[in-house]
Amino acid sequence: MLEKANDWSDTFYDKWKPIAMGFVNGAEKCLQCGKCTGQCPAAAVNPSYNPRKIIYDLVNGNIKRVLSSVELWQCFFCSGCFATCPVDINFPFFVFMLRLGAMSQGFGWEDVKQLEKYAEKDYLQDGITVSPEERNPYVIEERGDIADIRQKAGMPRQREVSDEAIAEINMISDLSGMTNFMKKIGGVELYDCSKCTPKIEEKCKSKELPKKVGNVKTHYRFYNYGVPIGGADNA
Amino acid sequence: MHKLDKLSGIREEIVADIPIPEEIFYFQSCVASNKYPGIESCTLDVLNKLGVKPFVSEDQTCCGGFVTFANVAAPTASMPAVARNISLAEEEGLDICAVCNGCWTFLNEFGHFMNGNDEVKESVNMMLNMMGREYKGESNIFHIGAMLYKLKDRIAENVERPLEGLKFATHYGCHYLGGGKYGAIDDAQHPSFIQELVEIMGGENVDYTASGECCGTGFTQVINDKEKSLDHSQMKLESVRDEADPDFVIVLCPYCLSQLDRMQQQLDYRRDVKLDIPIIHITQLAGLALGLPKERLAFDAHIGGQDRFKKALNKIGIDY
Amino acid sequence: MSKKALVIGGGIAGINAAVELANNDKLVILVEKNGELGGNVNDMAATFPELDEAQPLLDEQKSKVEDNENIDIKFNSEVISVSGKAGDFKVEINEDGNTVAEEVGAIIVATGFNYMEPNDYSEYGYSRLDNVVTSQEYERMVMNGDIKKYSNSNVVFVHCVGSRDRVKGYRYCSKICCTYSAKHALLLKQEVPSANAFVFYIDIRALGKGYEEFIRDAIEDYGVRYIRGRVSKVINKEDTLLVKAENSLIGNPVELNADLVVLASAMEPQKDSKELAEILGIETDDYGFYKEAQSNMEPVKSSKEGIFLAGSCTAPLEIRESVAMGKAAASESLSFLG
Repeated sequence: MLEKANDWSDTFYDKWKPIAMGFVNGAEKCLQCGKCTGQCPAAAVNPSYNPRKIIYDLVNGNIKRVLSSVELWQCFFCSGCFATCPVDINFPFFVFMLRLGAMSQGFGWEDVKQLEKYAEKDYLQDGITVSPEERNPYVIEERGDIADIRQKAGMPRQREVSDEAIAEINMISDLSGMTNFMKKIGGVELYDCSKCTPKIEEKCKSKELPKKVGNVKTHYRFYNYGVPIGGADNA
Repeated sequence: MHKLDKLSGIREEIVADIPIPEEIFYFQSCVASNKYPGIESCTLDVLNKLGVKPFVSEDQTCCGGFVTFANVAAPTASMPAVARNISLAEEEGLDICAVCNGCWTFLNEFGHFMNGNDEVKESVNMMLNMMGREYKGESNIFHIGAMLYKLKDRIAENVERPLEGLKFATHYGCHYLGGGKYGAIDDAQHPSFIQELVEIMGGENVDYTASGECCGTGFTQVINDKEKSLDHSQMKLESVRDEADPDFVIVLCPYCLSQLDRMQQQLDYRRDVKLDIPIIHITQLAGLALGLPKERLAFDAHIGGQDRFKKALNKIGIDY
Repeated sequence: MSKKALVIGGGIAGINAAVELANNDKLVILVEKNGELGGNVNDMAATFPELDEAQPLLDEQKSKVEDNENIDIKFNSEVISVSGKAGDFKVEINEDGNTVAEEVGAIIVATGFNYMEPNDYSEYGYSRLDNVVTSQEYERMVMNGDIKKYSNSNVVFVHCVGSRDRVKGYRYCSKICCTYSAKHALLLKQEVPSANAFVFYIDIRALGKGYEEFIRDAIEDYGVRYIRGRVSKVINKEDTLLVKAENSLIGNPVELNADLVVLASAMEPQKDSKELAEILGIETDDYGFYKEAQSNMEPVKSSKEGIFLAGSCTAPLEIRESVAMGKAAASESLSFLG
């Protein structure tokens, strides 16, 4: 289909680089050699996924296509492209940052929605992200309770993460805007203050908390979590 | 066909820089704790046997890599979480040993990043100070594979259960050698350090075509696009079965272990692909050779390859 | 009284410089670090864009030097010190272990290039897998007939190994690999018509008279298949090699079984080029190639008066251009030889 060059953005990449904090410099060095795609596991199983093309679109300014593409969500994050790239482009970081960009435009929320529970149910509640049944619910009927195996090996039935540690990561989540963001994705119960330890409570009271992450002043900023342009349907 | 003896990619200068400490901060992995407890128990026992005391902290949480790369948390949220975990080791004055490629890369990459950006470090510390912690950027992060390679002489001295008659294939995983190519001890494309360890322990190495391929997890693909993820794992596992037919596949990363192990059952259910391949972590390999009891090896938690487990373990005198 | 001239390097550029000076009745000292003349052309089976056998052409050139009374060839020798100024240099040469002092009016540097050994390219398995060779090794295989065994086989030619690569190689383009890979494919098709030749390229840079037509002939008349994409990986698959790359014009990854993989390794400066530059007092660029006084207008003058440059010690060059530079350097140096 005909593309019109005046739809391309001349400024996105330049503006985006400082936002992405130096994680994703160097796209303009790309030689379009295709070494990345040749070894890419995602390109091997997806008909249209191609890391070379994503970089090309980014540098050329066809941002709309990149951000709205399904392909952006097909990367395996295996870093094989980075390992082999002749100009050292760390492509997985590009994908990571571009996904945040896509979400700010209202794309990709369905994908993230499915993953949000890992943060909400596991990471922020237990301090451990991956639960025993993850990836294969048949594990219990097949191998029994993992807690029994732990016990047989002479370890506590569950790995202990202290309440204080969980309180701290929840605090980080609140302060950095992650909790708010998760609310937008799928709704989340904020950390229950009744679980707070006295030690944390004391610190909590003695220091004034910033109202939101935007008040932490630094001129390097990641994506600002905002309301997706696609509106409530996407969020 | 291989001329591996001719040219090894192991970076001796990086290996030389790894200290052999008396004590090390053992960074617990979610997958190891919750799915394959054998990795956890073997790491503790193996390090103890090799004269390095593991330090375990209950204050340590998940590295945060998963939620970050699942785009649930932006780097603004995970950076302080990484800093918090590293600061726990700094408080003890210890270096960190990670058993998972993901933990290693994530701590290493973000740690380096904060060290290079004072402004970011400062704003992260503003947050940590509220909890009475501080990130200084002093602890080094080592992968357990690199630690074991560094300790290979001690392993050779301590082999109690030579792995004679067993065939081993390897899967190095993406995020140690590839994603961390400037910090890893071996070459990303033709790695050989696990093979060297296997030889020290008396085992035999076998090779297969897809040895350098990703396990197929694809980070989030296994959840969002399971068929694609299965496609890739199937390709990989069939290559292992048809070309190498090993007794064990050694992996460096619990997350790869989880994929290659658990997908065997799913491939059977969904696609009628029969696989019987035991997948074990490098610390379990060391545990086997150093003579740990079968309870500590905890192969019960593995789904795939149980028949083969039995045969292989019987060969070296473990009644499984 | 006429002064002697010193030519460093007995490759194709040095030979031509020496002969040109000798034909002008000048005495020439030709310093060659190896035991024979000819340099990198010694490893060449054929020339391009006309497929002439390279060795007879080279022998003809060598005999012009060897039979010339005005040229004193010092084999297994190298320059160890240089002092003085243009028109009046004092040089010390290590000839087979003995130090010889000479006085010369001008110096022509023609030390040539080196084929990079792609040991760092573990993704291509060089020096790890059998049947992965560099282009230099392939030329020898053509000369001694080893390629005849690849009947009914797939042979893959990989461009830009070490060139256009900031990480493991050099940022520059080695200029001649595109055309010599076409030559290699053509030689294969001529010697072993049943073999299939696949060339993986990024861009085709056929920057010379007749080069474009030469490559088109390989495609059109000999059926050499050109695929745009840098090879990602060469891995061992049972008894063959598996080549993985992207066909970037289609945008799909491709896999291909190969029996032989030929790596077009980069042309790099001689390993000791920077040390020689220090002895001579001339400038090099970041890679170690010698810098011209002015890249467009003074291509054979070095940064120091009285010292001239010829051939691939300045940049990757083809034979034709090295010969021309040798002759140009000789004529420019005449003014310092009285």
